[in-house]
Amino acid sequence: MNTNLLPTHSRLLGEHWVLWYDISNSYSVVTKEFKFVLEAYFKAKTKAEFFNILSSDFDDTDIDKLHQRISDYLQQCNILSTLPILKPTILEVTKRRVLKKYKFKDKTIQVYFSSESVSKIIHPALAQYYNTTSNVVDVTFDIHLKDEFLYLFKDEELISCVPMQEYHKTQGKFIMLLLCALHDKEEGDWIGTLHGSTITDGNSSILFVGKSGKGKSTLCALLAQNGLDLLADDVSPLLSEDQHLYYNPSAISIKAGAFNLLKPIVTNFNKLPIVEFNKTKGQLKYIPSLKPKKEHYPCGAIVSVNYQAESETKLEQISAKLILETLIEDSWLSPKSKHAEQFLNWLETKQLYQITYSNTNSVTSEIKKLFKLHQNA
Amino acid sequence: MKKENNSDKITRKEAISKMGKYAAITAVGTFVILNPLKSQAQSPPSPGGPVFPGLED
Repeated sequence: MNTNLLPTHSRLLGEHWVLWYDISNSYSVVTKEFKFVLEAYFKAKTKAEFFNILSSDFDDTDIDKLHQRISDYLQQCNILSTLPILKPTILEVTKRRVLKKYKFKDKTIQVYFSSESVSKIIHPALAQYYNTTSNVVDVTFDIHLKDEFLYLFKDEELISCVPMQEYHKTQGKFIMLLLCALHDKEEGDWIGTLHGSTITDGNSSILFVGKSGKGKSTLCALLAQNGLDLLADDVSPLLSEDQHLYYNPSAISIKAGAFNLLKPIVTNFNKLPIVEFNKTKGQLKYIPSLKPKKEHYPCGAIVSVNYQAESETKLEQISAKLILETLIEDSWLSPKSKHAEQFLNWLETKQLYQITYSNTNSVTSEIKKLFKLHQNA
Repeated sequence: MKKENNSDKITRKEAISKMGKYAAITAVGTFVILNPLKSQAQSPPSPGGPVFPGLED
């Protein structure tokens, strides 16, 4: 059969195979039985041969269905992944109405926004680095709104253009460029930016994942108040060179629903400004935290977060399938084959858990125990 | 001589063992295809779709 459609990388993680397809940059999670039939499909030169290989295990009508199913599956896995082409656009200097400068350890960046309103998509998360005194600037960004599109420029070169409703893409691209500037990297050096928040104990790190509203950021805010450090909130960058997770300077973003839980725990919580982005999203607060000692740490475990009111704290091991289903579709993962292989290697060495919690004290002690467990492993 | 590592090969016995024909065809149907984001993004505005942001020029 058509071996051009073969997955480039295959890895058995727990009870499931994870297959990676180069042309689409897609990850497919399949059962062992599915993998067996897929191998038969590629081994067979003709449909008759496929029937022969499977005839002792399946009825003829089922083999016919399987052939069709595998063929449809492979088509879905081999859809070419493309990026939209950017229309050349020249930066309009007259739109530089608001300037914010941020000073990091050895880098200063400046961002021109076309209005105060547009600055809200970036500034509150970086406010702790806001600095008006820096004169030497390493990188200049521009974020302008024009005809309901958001334009992002780096050193006057257009990087992205998205409809204003998709401003989270501008935020994500900006963070990627900021990470490259701060860590002296190129976009091609990263395996991906994982959708999750990372906490470190100074030796290793734990990546917390979960769909929006599951309490990742709330848990990280809690842990950051209890002797652990925040390495990254919402976007956790994974570098190819050492496969470590890196520091993301964005403050923890907390939705109004978690204000009451964090008020007694976070120092000066009431004094943190409320950012009102729009009526539907509601109010947000950004909790700044101390930078960890190092810029990057190896990751020991991935924990899927599940906040449930009035639940007992429970830490349990979960499958790679569940972690991948939570993580992949909200993460950017490099389309390079080498990076996809590294991602699978990286995942293979991680302990995978789910934590269900509502009690802030017991969840903190459970996570600290987990750090100790990995230190001693 | 280098020993061949067969740990990532699946055997027929392993795949179909303890399964009847009906169960086997059901299990074969179980797969998911996950596509990462094509470019970097932060969490979307809210679960359930994009929300019009209160941005002004």
